[in-house]
Amino acid sequence: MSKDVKIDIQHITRVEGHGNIKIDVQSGELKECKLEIVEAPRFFEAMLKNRHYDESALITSRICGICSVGHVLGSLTASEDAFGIKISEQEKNLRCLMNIGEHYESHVLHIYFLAVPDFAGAKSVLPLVNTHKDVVVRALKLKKLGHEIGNMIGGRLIHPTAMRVKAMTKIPTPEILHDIIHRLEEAKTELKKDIGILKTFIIPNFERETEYISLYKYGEYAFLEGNIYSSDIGETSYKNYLDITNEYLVDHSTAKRAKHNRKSYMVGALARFNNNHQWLSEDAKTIAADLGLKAPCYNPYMITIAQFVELFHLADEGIKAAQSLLDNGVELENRKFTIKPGRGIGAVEVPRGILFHDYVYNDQGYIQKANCIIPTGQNLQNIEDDFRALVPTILDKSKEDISLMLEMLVRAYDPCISCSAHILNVEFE
Amino acid sequence: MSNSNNKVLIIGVGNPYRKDDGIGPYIIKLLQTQKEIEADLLDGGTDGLTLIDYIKEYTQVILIDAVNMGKPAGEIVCFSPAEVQLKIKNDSLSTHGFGLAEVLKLVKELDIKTKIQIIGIQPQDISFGEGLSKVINDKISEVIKIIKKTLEMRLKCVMPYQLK
Repeated sequence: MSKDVKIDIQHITRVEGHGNIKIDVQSGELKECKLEIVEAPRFFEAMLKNRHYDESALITSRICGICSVGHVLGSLTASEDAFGIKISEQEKNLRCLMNIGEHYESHVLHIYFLAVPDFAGAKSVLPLVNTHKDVVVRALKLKKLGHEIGNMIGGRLIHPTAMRVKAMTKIPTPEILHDIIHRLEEAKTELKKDIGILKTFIIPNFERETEYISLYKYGEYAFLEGNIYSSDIGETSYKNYLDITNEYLVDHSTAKRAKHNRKSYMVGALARFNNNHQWLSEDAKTIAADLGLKAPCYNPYMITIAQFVELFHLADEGIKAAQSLLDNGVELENRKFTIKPGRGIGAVEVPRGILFHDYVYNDQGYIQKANCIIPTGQNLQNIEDDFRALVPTILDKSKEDISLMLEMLVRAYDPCISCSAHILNVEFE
Repeated sequence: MSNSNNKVLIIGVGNPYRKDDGIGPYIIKLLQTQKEIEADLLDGGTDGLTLIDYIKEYTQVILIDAVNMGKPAGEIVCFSPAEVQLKIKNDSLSTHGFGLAEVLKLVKELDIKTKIQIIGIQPQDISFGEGLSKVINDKISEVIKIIKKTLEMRLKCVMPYQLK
């Protein structure tokens, strides 16, 4: 088809940060296709220099208001890797619960408040309050469960303070653990009420196979420990994460990009699902099958569905972790250890994908060098490559429909371009 | 939706690692050291939607935030969401995914009856970094004074900071 289409979307809405889309098709040929990032690059790596190990996790928790626990987990794991600390089973279970809280907060925000309006044909969640008030109220309740787990285990509603190198400074009572089990069971019941609605969504029929990268530990749907797995080449030690990420800059974006075996790769819920689906809980597997999510899935619009499936798996994992803490008893652990100078790497799965924190410590426990690679940076080139594959197939649609499909695609990846500033803009007349 | 808590909740919104954006959390930290403040305090961070859960639990909420009002840096304006709702710029509604502006709209749509008063401070610099600009730092004691007065007046706008 000979067609000219010029799309220039300034500030993609309902994305955590600032991003622009530029598409230029001349006589049916794609001349330009860019996802521009206009947000300033992150300065947290510089800010971490000369910081004590007890401070680094707290600082990185402010990189993002949504993934604050994820950055804490990445940071602690890197510090423990540097100091040669092995955390206890109790600590693993407590961190598992914190991770579940964070995924509930983030996935619920993305599924219900940022992505659902697209599938429901609404401009934002606001009109849905009138048509689907029960769903909006349920979503708020599910998101709240996420923060409350953070508060009950992590010591603070927002930006937890109890998570420290080696062990938590606070432990939950058996009553709290029973409450968490009860509420995670309730969450699954609540989520099931929305399966019918999800089934009514028309998910664009677009597939592009790419390289899927996630954390990997045989026998687990890995979130907090393991090596790196590529659907192209298999397992790589987390220590060699730089061989995977190969960061580079492009001139139209201030955010770094990543590539591995191909021009681009995908991280996040769909990459985790494709690589680790066999280790999802039985309930999560049933929900996935019911919603038509089958591995390998090459449709990036299905990321939202993969996130929904993960909520079931995470609830089951949380119930298991809390039960194990109840069975074995919880006690405050000795936090003493010897500081060792050297390098440590933390690789964890956060809601948007695999996150790397890499620190070099001196013999006093102060960071000399820091490198943080966030999931969104790793996904950027993959989104642009999706654009290149998608645009030629939808040129028969109106400019508005093409724009919407591209925006939906960006939103499906749930990018967090930079939500680390929060400013309210108002205009007084 | 019901609000059960008769106490006032003061929420400081923002990121302490984005310079003046950190005014909200900075004020909360200061208030935590002042025993005479009879209110619950919350460092709200930057996840706007989280705030709904806390707003709905209280009958009265004061929000402290760096607000881009197109005014000289350091200027303080007190306003309620209803007073500015129609004046929120369209694009700013979207730039933070689900920011404070959407939250305030959602509070209204969900018929949450909490009385909200915003104390907005025009920032000078919200780039990455720690610490407040001098012009903002010089206003700290004034902000604290306004908060105390606002509490005293049960969330009525404080002259001469009120809108218009």
